[in-house]
Amino acid sequence: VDVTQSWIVVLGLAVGTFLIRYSFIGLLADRDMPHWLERALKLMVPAIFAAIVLGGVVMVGGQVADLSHWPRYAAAAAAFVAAMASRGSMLLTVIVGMTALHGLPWLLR
Amino acid sequence: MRSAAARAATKKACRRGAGVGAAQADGVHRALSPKVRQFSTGQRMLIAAFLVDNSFAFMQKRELDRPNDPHLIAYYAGLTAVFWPSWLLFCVIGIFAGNIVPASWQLEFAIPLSFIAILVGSVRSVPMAAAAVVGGFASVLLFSLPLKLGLVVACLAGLLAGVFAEKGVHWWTSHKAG
Repeated sequence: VDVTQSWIVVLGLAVGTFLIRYSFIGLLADRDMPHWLERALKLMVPAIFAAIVLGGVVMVGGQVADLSHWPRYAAAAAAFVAAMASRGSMLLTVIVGMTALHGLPWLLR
Repeated sequence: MRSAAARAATKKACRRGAGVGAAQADGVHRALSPKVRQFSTGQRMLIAAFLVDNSFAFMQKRELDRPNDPHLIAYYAGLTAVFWPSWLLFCVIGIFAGNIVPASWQLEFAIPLSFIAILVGSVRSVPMAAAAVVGGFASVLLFSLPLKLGLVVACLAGLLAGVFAEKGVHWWTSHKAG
């Protein structure tokens, strides 16, 4: 991958993500969205975030993480409990999750 | 390309860009749309250009906590003034520090963890929970689809599950009442 190609990717990403963002804010704001679309999009937020979370926790190098990767699952579970208890505090969730990821194997070594 | 870390970061950004971008724009759109109507195209472009994950999450929470806040645009401007420069700054730091921080720290795991916080905050009903569960498992099952299509299809599957769950909840409540 040379420098020119990198810049093409960067510019493409910049334009692409901008267009996705602008499409809703800029173009759809003037009209009322059909009810069914609004309802569907409301469901999209949890669906996409859950997809990112599970993909990020379970998949390691394109494979489903086996039990030797148990700290990942334990850390995600701990983070989930922390998020529930703190009603979605990002800082606390990340701190508890990362502490569990490294702390649990250290405790049980 | 500078480093493996930078390349991995770009790949990750590509992978989740489309879905999160759309979800984000929708979230901010829903929060802002009555207020956005008074703004010109240029001003709307500014709002879209400086939208980052964190301000999206805060806007969502703000909308749920204080519906019809007349100062939402000012709130967004304030968020952006803090989040956008720090987003950029820490991206740059990350690209360089990526070569120094040992891989065994598994810092990249903080990304899905931070999304757990957003996920928990965004689920407010049974259909939303159904959409999350199905979307999550589908993304793992469909991981091997080319071009990261798995994420898109998983999102659609979650959406569908949510719609069905809405129907189920509706049936249940009307049944109990009748």
